[in-house]
Amino acid sequence: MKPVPPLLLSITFFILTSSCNSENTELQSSQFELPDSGIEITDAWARPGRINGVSAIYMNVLNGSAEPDTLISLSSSIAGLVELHETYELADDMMGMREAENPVFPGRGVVSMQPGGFHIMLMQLNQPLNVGDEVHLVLKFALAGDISVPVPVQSQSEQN
Amino acid sequence: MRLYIRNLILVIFTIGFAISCSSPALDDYSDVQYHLMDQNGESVIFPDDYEGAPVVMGFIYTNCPDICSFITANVSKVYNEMENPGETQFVLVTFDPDRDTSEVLKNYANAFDMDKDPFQFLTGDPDVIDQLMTRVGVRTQESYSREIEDGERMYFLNHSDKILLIDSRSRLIFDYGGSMTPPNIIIEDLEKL
Ligand SMILES: [Cu+2]
Repeated sequence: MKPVPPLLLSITFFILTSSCNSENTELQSSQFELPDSGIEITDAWARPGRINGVSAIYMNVLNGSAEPDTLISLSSSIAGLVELHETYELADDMMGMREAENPVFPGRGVVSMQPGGFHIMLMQLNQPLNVGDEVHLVLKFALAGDISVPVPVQSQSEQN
Repeated sequence: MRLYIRNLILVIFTIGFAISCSSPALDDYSDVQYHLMDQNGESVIFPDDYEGAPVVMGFIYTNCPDICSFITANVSKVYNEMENPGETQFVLVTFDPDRDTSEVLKNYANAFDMDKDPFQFLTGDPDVIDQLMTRVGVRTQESYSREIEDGERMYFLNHSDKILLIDSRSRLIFDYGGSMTPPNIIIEDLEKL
């Protein structure tokens, strides 16, 4: 069987999550107001991390363009290595993490990166990330180009 | 989603079990002694040093920013949301003692604003950690690695996702999915002890 592309899984996950809270399905979809064009990043936040350690950034990627877009590269001045990762469940209740290959951001769609799913993984941190700090991340998309986002360090999402 | 449902089923099952027989110990650790070390380099013995008050115990490695940060944040959240934490102890134990030394754990605790009472981060001799993980049912396996500067290798682990609730007599009372269990479920269980 051909494996399902990870981002498709994420979108499915997102839709499933929204439909679970049946009374706010409308609210959930209207919560994301797509930009008229290009890509907009909302609700970005990062995990705390120690120096030489790792962190994860979560966010919603809103693609307002009719065209699907792809991520070309990720960078941040505070990390030696930045990659798009996904957490997945293995057999026997174990959890693992792997690099997400060829992520696609569908036209007029939202990709939600949340704990337990997709994250932007920061490795080889050259400074500690403490709750209350802010870091900068640059996402380079094939169509939307470079997008620089300020990312606050929080112990958890402000949404819950 | 699947995880959530699975954990929900687990939680419902566990609650059902708890109601049906009042004190269902899943294990009793009082027959063992694990010599460990906290983030300040102080020696501790589990479970001996923890007897007398309940323990919320999570299992992590610090090179894991998603699931393990989730577990760490959940343990912190349980404390912060408890109205009456009393003497309850909140412990995170690494299953990667080769890299997670006391010093590394101290930096990690500090980043999470948890390098303070009542939180404790434990590491130890790899053999001892191995025995402890076997006893509590936490399994790990190396997944992939990255070549980094100066020929060093950074590796990641697949691992069980767990938080345990241990009572004041070193008995394991509940075993939760660490990252997915809502903190209020753990708080409710703590209040029943
Ligand atoms: Cu990762």
